[in-house]
Amino acid sequence: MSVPLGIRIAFAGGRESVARMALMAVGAAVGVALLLFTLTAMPVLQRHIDRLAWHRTTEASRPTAPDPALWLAVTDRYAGRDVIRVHVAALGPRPPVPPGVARLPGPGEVVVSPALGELMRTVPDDQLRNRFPGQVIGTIGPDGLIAPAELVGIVGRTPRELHATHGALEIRGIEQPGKRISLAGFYRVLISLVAVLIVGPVVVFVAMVTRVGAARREQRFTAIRLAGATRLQTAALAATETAAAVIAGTLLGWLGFLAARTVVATTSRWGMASRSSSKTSRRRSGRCCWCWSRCRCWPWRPPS
Amino acid sequence: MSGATPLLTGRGLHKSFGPTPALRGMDLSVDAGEVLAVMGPSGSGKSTLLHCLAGILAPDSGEVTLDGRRVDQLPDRERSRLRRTEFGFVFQFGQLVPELPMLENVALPLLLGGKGRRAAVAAAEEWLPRLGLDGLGHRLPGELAGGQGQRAAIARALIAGPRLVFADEPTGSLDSVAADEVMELLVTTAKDERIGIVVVTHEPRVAAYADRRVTMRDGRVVQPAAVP
Amino acid sequence: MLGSAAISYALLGLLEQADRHGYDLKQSYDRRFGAIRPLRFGQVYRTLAQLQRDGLVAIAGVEAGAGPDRKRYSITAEGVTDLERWLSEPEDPQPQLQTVLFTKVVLALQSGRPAEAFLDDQRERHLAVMRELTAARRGAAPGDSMLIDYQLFHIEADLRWIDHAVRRLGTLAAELRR
Repeated sequence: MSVPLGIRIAFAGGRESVARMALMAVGAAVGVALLLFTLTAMPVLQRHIDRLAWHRTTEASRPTAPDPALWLAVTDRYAGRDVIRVHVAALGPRPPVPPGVARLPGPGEVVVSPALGELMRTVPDDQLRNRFPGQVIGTIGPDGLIAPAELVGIVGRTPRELHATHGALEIRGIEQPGKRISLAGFYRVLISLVAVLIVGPVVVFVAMVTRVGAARREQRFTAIRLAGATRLQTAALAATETAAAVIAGTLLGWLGFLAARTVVATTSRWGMASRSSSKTSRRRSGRCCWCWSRCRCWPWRPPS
Repeated sequence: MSGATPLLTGRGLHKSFGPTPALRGMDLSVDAGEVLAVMGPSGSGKSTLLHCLAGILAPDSGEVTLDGRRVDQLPDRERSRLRRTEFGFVFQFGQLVPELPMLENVALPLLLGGKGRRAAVAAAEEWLPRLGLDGLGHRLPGELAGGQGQRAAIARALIAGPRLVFADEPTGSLDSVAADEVMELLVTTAKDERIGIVVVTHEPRVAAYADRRVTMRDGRVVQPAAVP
Repeated sequence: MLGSAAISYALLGLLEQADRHGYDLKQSYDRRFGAIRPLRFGQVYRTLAQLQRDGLVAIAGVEAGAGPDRKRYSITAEGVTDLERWLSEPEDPQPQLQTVLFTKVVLALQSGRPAEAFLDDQRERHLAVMRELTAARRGAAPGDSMLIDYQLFHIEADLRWIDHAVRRLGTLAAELRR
């Protein structure tokens, strides 16, 4: 009985009351959305770093295949964008293969990312295509990309060509994600700090907003108490108003977060990392919906 | 009426707010069907006395008995129940919830007691004509004139069939004609329904409606000199 | 206008403080109560004569010499009793009551009697009368009811003065001592 009465009282309060509830909802929405972003940022960043892993392949990388290969990664620029080129030469029938690629391109073969393929078709050969000599035999799948629009290609060479090239490495395995780099720790601290700095002011904001129309509220609850409401009933009525606003705001924030995340996934360089984390982050955001406590860093989980 | 046990008694009531004493040993009694006026200058402790008698405040020492049962030490739930069912309140301002229409304000004690909305509102409807409030049930408190609002407060005080009504400056914000109406209503109700009414006031014309009068100063009874 | 009874008691009160000559008495009266209505010499002597006949005042001594004002008056024991009775008995509400009340308050303060208690008793009397009038008003015809209202408002005004006076007794007492 108290809840419907409480809701009716809350909404009947006129402009003042509605304004207060709207502000509380907005505060809750902003807080929840930002909180979710910061909590999922860590995994996203981590995943981003993971996806970069295969670029970091060196001769010290742990073996992932029986046979070795030669490997030379080069980054240069085209029209203001980074273009990554990896020259490879298999030294056996079963060399290490980067993610997103069915097999290592052989001499005269090239595997490119979808964006690079597109770009190459539209641009004169001597500006871009000539850096990737060979026949395009396939595209790099999503697992091998860090962003949808990444420009990366793998060029197949003969072992002799690479042996003669300075800087080529003999690798036994592709660098796998899972090897932590010290930067993760730094990011963790940074993001915890940001979460606290966001949540703190939002909580204060919500608390201040409850002071809007406080006098009227006092009067209202004095009247209710005088009419014989127990402390519990009075508290329930008071809480209903705040709760309704905060619930609405939380839902709003959650939806806002999901919407914004979709945008990020399709457009930014964090895109691929965001996409693949969708399953875990949905679970996680469900759990954090009601969480207003200080942000604790979530342990990293490998992408499922 | 005299000789029978009083309906409500307060004995040896003391109450302080921090270092300031508000009540210094108050003795009081009210019979059923009697109107008692408590007079005194501001700061004499009249309102504190009322709050202690009505169970809104717990006295520091002393006892309050209703029909022989002690009520000053009851837990909050019991005291709230008393406020809903045995006591009625008419205060100077602010006893109507600004957001609810007048009819629901009158029905509020019943609603808080768990009665269904329809039944409670129907009961409230019956009271409106008795207090000259016909047709005003859907107005918000802010849309009522002072006298109408106080009469609505009286309706709310009476709806649960209380045995005592506590009025703290019920006419304080009213003009003289509305004040007369309100006091007439209270006195008539007291007689008709055998309700005890305690009116705290500093206005002599209001106190003149009472059967008995007690004057306070500095937390004590100064008139009559003997215990009433 | 101060009722003659009030004038008599005012003079009695002044005599209680000290024996005085008629002239001296008039001066004292004027100083304390003259703002309300100054007293004529003839009135003073007439009142004194009446008080003497009633046994409340006696001649304490006669000065030798010429002139009418050679008698010194003093208050008798009966006079003191009567004065006390008058001071402590509340008055019924009436128009111009406040001058009588004022006289009582001043006399009480001057003689060290409990002025506050007198005022409290007076308030109780007023309130009792209000109660009777309010009860009488119920069931009265509208015309009579208005008349009763008129009385009630006046009594209420008296009560406001009484409350006010109670709060100002300290200041008044200090002024009277000068």
